[in-house]
Amino acid sequence: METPSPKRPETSRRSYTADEVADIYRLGKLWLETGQHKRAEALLHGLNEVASDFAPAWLGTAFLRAQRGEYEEALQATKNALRAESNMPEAMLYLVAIALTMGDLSTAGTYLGEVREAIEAGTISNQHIVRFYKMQLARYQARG
Amino acid sequence: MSGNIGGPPEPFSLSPLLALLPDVGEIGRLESLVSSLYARQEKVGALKAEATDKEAERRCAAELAMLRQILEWVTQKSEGGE
Repeated sequence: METPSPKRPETSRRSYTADEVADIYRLGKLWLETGQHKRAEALLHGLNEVASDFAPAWLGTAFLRAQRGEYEEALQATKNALRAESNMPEAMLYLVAIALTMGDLSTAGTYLGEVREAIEAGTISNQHIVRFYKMQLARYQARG
Repeated sequence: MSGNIGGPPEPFSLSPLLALLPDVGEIGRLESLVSSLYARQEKVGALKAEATDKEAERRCAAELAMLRQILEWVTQKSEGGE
């Protein structure tokens, strides 16, 4: 399935409120968590189309692509997430993880640095993010 | 390290990438959207039928597939399923 680019058809975007988009995404996340990937993919792909500025749905798509080993597509979806929300640490860490898998140490190092700064500045309290950062840092250092 | 030896593994250790996905939204609210989602499904179906270019048709198809999944889930849930 082709990863759509973040263009926003006006008629679609006005049809869903921000809450509705988030609630639909949450269902998609539930399906990812319960292994119902086909259903999740259909839902997330639709969200990517109707709400291209909603970063979490792009990350959901990135997750699915990465699971299938489609790293170029996962990378593109992650970049779309960052285009929608440029300071999103989860998206930056997705980019790091995928970049490391693809051997792109430069990109990985850049975004690890950004996340590190946010952690040190105290703007990140989510422990999943911190743990994931540490995991990716270890991967990065192992390759250095 | 968690002291919960007998319990299930925590989500992060099973799939860190999955655990990293943001926790936003509430699926419980979707049931109240059923009428508007059905209406939207009809509208998008009509738009797709009238679409004059592949791109518009593709977008409509993606949205329809999304709506179909949501509405199936809501229906199953109300019938005592998932």
